[in-house]
Amino acid sequence: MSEHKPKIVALVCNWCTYTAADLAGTSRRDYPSEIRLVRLMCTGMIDSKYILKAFLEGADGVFIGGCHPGDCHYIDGNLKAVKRIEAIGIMLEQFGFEKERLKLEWIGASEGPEFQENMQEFAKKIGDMGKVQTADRMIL
Amino acid sequence: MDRKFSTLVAGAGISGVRAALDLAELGYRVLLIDKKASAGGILSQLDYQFPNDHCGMCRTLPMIDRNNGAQFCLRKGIFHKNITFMPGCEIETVKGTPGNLSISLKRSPLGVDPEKCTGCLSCESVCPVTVKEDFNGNLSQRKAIYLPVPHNIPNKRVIDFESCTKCGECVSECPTNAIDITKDVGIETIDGIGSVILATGTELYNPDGVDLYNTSKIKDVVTATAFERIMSSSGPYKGKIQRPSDGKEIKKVAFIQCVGSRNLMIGADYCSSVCCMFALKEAALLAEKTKSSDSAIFCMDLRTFSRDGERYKERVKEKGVRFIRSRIHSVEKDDSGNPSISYVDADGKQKSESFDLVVLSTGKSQNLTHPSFIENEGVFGISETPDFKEISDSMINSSFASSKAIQIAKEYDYETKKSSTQINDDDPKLHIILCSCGNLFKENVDLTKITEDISRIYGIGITTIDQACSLEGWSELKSIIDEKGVNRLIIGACNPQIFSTKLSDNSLLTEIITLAEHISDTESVDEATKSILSEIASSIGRLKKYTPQKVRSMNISKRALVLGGGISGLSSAKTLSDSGVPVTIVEKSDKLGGNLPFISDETVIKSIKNLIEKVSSDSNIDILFNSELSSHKGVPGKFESVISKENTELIVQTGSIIVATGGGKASFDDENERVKTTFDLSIELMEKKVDAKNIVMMQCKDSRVEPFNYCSRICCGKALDNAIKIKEQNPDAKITMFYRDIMAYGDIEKKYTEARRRGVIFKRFEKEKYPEVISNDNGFTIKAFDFILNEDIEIKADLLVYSTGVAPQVDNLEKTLKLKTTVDGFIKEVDFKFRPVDTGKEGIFICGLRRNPANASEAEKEGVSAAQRALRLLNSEILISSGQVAHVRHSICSRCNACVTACPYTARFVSVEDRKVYVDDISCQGCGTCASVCPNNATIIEGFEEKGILDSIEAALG
Ligand code: FES
Repeated sequence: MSEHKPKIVALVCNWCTYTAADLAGTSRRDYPSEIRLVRLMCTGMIDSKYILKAFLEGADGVFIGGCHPGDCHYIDGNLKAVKRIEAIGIMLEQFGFEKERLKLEWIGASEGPEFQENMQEFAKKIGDMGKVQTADRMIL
Repeated sequence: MDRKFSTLVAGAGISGVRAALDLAELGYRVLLIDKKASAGGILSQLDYQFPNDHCGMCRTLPMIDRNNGAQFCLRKGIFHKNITFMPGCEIETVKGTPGNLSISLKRSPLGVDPEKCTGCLSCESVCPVTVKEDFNGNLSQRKAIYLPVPHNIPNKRVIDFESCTKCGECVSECPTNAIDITKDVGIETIDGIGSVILATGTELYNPDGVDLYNTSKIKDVVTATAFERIMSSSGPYKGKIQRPSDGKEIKKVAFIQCVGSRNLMIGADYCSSVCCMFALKEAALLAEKTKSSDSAIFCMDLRTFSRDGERYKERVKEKGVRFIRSRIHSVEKDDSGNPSISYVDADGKQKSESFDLVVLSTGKSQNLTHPSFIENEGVFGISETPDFKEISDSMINSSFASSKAIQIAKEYDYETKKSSTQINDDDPKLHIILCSCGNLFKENVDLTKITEDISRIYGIGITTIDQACSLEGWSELKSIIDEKGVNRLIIGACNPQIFSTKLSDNSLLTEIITLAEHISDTESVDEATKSILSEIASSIGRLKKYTPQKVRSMNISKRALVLGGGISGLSSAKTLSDSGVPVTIVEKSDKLGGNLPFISDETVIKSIKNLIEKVSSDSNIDILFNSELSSHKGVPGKFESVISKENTELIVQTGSIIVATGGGKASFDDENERVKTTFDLSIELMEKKVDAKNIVMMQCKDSRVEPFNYCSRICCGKALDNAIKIKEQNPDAKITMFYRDIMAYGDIEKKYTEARRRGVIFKRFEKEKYPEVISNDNGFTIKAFDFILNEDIEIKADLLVYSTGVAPQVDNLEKTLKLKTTVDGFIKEVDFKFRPVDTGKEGIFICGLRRNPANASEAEKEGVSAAQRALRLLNSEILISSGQVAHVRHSICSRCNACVTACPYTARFVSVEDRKVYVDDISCQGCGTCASVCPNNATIIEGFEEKGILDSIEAALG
């Protein structure tokens, strides 16, 4: 299994998690290189399509990082995102994706180390899970 | 004469930043200075704020006329193109008159040229001097050349010349020759400044100075700020909550309150106002983070006098935190090395208990005064004395000061500059600029491959600049843009955020890539190259699909509607009118002044009367008496309100609405003329003597208990005033005050001291046991439990005075204007700390007693602050929308209205004319919530179009 290098997209909000990533990487990157960050203004902006698109484009995992509840720059975008992401998780499962491949975490602006930990953990887990099995068979 | 800056703001803490932004948002240019090497003040050390235990500082940033280049976490630094920040500066002297002040600044050298420093760290690695890191409460170490705030950008190093030995190691090591250790403190004079705002804040009490409990030698005794750092992820232990002496996990903490405050022995006869909430918050965070529950707060009173403080305290109590009323005797190490506190508890018993860590709740340092130039005309202090204030109070006080600075800027006609620029919407012409950052990227990334690949696949050119952040680099960058006629730009550098602010003037679209994030010590050049390539591709995707909208402008109704003619309403109206905005005041009764009849302080009465005078004679202000708001519609800048006045209705068009309908004494009824309220007694005492001999004052009557579970904040001060007055009139009068906590915050503490000195007896009671009152022919008998005697007592009284608190007005405005309220019926602001007078609906602001309990001068300041916020809208006739807002594609909108409910800013509405969904550009903040709930893709977010994001996701995976 170790040969497969997973592909992971991290959709992060501009205000908190992006800041944390930035803080973690101010000098050097310290999270796995298979993770690609895509910065959005808020997790509330994350459309189900973005997540599906990522999986269809071959992502093995999608990480979503936003501000802690109560902390969202746009008041409660993150809380609205929770519900949507839960729903997508269920949907993905029905398509045969393990729901662990989609993960939502709150990472505050000063939480550089948390960002790093989360990234390493997620990359490891996705790496261990191996390639998405369904993707090959899926025609959408 | 150079008249560049309308205002100089000294102190770049949150107060200074608020004041600077107030001015900058109106277009005035501000010089912001701080004696430290970085901005942010104490908040840069604090990750969490009461009452939601998170940050939220970014909500301070402008919302109208948003500068897209400055949409970052505010703790990283303040980026606004109208604000110039000068670190390491202090004011020496202020000369001249308002509108033309000449200010000489003492500039301490920073040692490193920020234009040249690349943040490469080589200086730090050779610096031989190691000192304690004050940023982390002295719990970690740093070099003499260091980064003052780890999360600040740009991450330029500075030298701490107090510990630098000038050995010169770093000078020769620096690859860009950025270091100069020969410079001395210099004096610089700046002329033509309109006014000065002094926001230098205060200093923290240093517990090692007068070592009150002999704790300076015990490692596991830290200050509250240091404890905050221990809990921070960017702190000394990287978020592991461990104690300094042996790294043991911290579970059980003792907080000792009032260290350096409320202490007559050291001449600190004041309360520092914030430490109780601070300790509560830290105790709550610890309980949450470590799932522990045995911490204790050792206090005299627990001063939770802010509106939601009481309920917050109860939540903290539920987490298992104990509040121990006590006097601390000493702190020592026990046999197992844990700090142990010996104290005398409320019953007078001596006890001791050991903890993992002891936190000293240090307040402000004593004997601080403002510098003498505060007396100079045109210099405005944020507070009368250097003081600690809770964040929302600081914000309100700042805007109060900035409103005066704005008057001067207006009067002397300083130039204004708004930031909205029309984005060039010609066909996308993309270019990429990569900064090689000295040798950093040349060595770690295959720049040739990147250039080749990008031009092969996308046909887009790349230019590499050696040091884009230097002066030369910057001009090179600008000339490339001009030469190539570029209208979309991707910049890759170590800290590209700095460019986006600088570039926001141009009609360019920029994407930023933080190159440093792709380089890692453990991975190969190949990996780094690949990951940069993918990020560039991702950005290209987004920029190509970006279709900028035309900047739209809207004529606004330059008039404000002020609901309520009380103290806060009057001060709002006055501020607006002084800024040239016509005002309509709607007052329910037939006179102005609100709670004026219940105020007993002569100076306050005079100033309110003066205010009424001015407002009544102001031709710019219309006053409608006996009238109320009955309905309301429209968008910010163009509200239409229907006012009902004695059976007639009239329509008023205004750009903004200020809710100042206030509140008043909580209702209280007692027939007995020997029973009074604290408010009534204070008015009576203005005229006559009180003949009673035995007076009992009972605080918190029907207050701080359900259903009125909030502190009214003003009763304790008033009750103390009353007690002192009675004692002045009749020193033999016997006064007993039953209280739960004496909320004598700030300098009200002096009254508390004075009352005790005059022999007023204070007896505490517990929430559950309100003293029992039995009335009889000669007066009353009060039965209560005495904590010191540890027994039930009975006290006779011939006058009984209740502090009954205040309550908000019942006026249904929350329904008419669709605003949120607290459980107690106060209108709720959108962010308690950082946007205290904003309702969350753009254009509608809230101040005074309708929002929270406040005394007259606090209400007045809130009024000014609300007016200040309204001015952002009303200052000009035309409002230009910021970029990055949402639009509706009507052709595919199914009008399901999902977006209308989802919008957190109520920026979306259904038009009555054509039933279509529209977006109000001014309210929209571009968060994108609407787009993600739209089932039909009918919503587009400028700059974050779906196509662009999908492309960038694809590219990221490519
Ligand atoms: S801004 Fe971070 S989740 Fe909304």
